[in-house]
Amino acid sequence: VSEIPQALLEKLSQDLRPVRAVLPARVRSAIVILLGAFAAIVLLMRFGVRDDIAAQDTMRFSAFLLVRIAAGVTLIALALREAIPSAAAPDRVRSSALLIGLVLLVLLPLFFATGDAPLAPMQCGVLILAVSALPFVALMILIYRAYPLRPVVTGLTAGLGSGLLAEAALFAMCSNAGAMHGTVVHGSAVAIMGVIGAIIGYVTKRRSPAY
Amino acid sequence: VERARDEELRALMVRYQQGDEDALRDLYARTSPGIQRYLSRWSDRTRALDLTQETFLQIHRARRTYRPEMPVLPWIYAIARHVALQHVRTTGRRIVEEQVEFPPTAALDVLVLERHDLVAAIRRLPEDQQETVWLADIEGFTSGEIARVTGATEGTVRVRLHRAHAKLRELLGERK
Repeated sequence: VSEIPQALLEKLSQDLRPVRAVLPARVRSAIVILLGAFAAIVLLMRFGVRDDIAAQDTMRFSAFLLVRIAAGVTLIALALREAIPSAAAPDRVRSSALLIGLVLLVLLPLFFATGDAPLAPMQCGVLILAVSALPFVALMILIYRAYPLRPVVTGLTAGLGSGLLAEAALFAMCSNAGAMHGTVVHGSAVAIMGVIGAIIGYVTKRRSPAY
Repeated sequence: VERARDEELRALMVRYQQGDEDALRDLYARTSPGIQRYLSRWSDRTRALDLTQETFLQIHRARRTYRPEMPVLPWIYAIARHVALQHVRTTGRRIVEEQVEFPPTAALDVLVLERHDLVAAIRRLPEDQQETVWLADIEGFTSGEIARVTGATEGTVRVRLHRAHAKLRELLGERK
């Protein structure tokens, strides 16, 4: 039988206070998604739905909206799982989800585009960043209350997930159906969220003695 | 036996989360030999002991992330693996331990081989197969548990294990 070395025991005993286990994955995901939904509803109440909503094919519009929401929710759930040792999704699943998320970001606006509308308004990008801030902050708090083994990947996934969720709200709000607008303005904002998440992960990785 | 062992470890982890020092001692006593053996894949014996202690420091920091419905050993070994990979990344060195003490339950023991030969043969496998065969046949992990530790899919783990066993048969056959 291996006995714990005295020095290690003393070190660990200094902080042996009871801890509460992290909330179940479904509850943590639900918290973030509800906060994202709340931010999206506030935005929709403030700016209203897109002008051309009545002219939209309901099935097609709903399908595009749901795909965006599903992509965001999936990435958020993956980021939360990534922060629990041995609970992370397999590398192949996570890489596929990230790739599909990025492809959707570029392709969905192209499928939905109705013409060569101008790039403006750029305001959409700012609004995506604003709407994604609330779920993103909640997500990062939940992630760092856990123990992300790969903080950069976790941060990237978290940022893209929050961004995609916010972009879904903007999709319901923004009347500009131009392919360039959707891909460049909306897509850049989501990508920025991913980069912010990855940078936070990188900084904490360097600072934390765990890494 | 495996289920009973896992239930005991789960109960220990819960008591450890509640601040029970005896549970911490018991958890260390039960899991550290296996962790040290696993870490010897990445370092020599002395360094593996240091890495085992580092693993327990990280387990302590991460203890709130354990949930009672999770199997304990994959959770612990995922942290140990992370510590080992950080060590290799930081030092850029990988001096493996040649003399490995096998647990009495090691599945490959049934092959009645010279243990040194077996370790040497495992070392000749590709990196991912080495780790898989180590966890499966020496530590007694299931494919699902190995997938949780290594971040591969269960299917991939099974394929790696199949290939590793075929290669080991070939390598050990050569020696005979």
